[in-house]
Amino acid sequence: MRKRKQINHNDKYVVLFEFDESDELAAVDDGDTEGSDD
Amino acid sequence: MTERRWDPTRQEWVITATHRQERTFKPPEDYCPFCPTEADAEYPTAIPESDYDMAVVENGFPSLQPDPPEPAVDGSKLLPTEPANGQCEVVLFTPEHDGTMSREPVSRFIKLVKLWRDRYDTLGEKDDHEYVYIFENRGEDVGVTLHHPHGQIYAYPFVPPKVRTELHSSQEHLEEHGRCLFCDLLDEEREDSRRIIAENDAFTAVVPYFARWAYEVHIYANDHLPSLAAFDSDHERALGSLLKDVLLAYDGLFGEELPYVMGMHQQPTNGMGEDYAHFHVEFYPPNRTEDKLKHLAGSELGAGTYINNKLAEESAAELRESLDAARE
Repeated sequence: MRKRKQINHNDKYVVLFEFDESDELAAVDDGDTEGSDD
Repeated sequence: MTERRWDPTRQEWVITATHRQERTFKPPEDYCPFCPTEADAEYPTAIPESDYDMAVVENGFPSLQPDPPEPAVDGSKLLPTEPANGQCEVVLFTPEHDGTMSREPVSRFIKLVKLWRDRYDTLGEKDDHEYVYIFENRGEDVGVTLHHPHGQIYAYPFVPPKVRTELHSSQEHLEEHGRCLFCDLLDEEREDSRRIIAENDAFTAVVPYFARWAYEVHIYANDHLPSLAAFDSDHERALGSLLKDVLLAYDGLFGEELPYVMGMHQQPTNGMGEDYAHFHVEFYPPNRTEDKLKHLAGSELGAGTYINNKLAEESAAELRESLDAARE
């Protein structure tokens, strides 16, 4: 996970989050709700 | 202006934030402040980028501020007044204005947990931030004025009263029984099992025995995790997965996005409560039926005693059925 901080036109800070899609996140969507069990 | 005033009868702070009367109210989609700023846009939004995945923006109408103004009135020894110091952020779940979180892949929920963990750590580093409160108001029925999917974070300069009461109860339980109250509550819920909606290796979603709202759901960490700071990547994945399950169950219940207030309870960032704070998420939907809302009235607002019109065991069965149908 990476963060980029900027100041917007209202002088408020904005933190943009970028995620590495290559491994765990992509794998988890293959099974979608995998891991849950009621 | 903002300020906080002490209520000695309840031993609670009340925050005054008069400028919030002017906050953005249900803008048309073309003027949503949380959408990306398109290259040819006449006016910029709060996000100075043409696209984003997930973002945090400093609240434009904050109840708490890092450099707050002096209070409008002088307090007294009995009735102290303090500046409303702290921080307020908005968390943008998706760049899609009309996004529906229950239709998002699990990975978006995991990203959200990672983001929340970052904000808990980052905001908690400041000495005057005693409690980092992560929450979401979803739907016009709970007062939402901006429809873009988003949540909020308040870094309070005190531990808020609901959390303080929980922590006090858990501390007393620990001193008397040598165990965290929430660990024992979860053990009983799992042994009974009638109120459990879904579970995985690390978290359990349950309509609590003492539910105040018809479809109230709590998600508890199975192990004694005081806060997001104690999470590893398995916890992030497991909580993301269960959050999606709860939203699937909610949105399938009546066939549309169920409104709710979500609040995250965990260890204060002032260091107290590591042994008795237990990470959990609470959801309070106002619906008591498909088309009837529960209003807080005489008993709830005036006396503090909630009247729930539904058995928690029946609500849990309905939510399990809804989740099963959503998974098919």
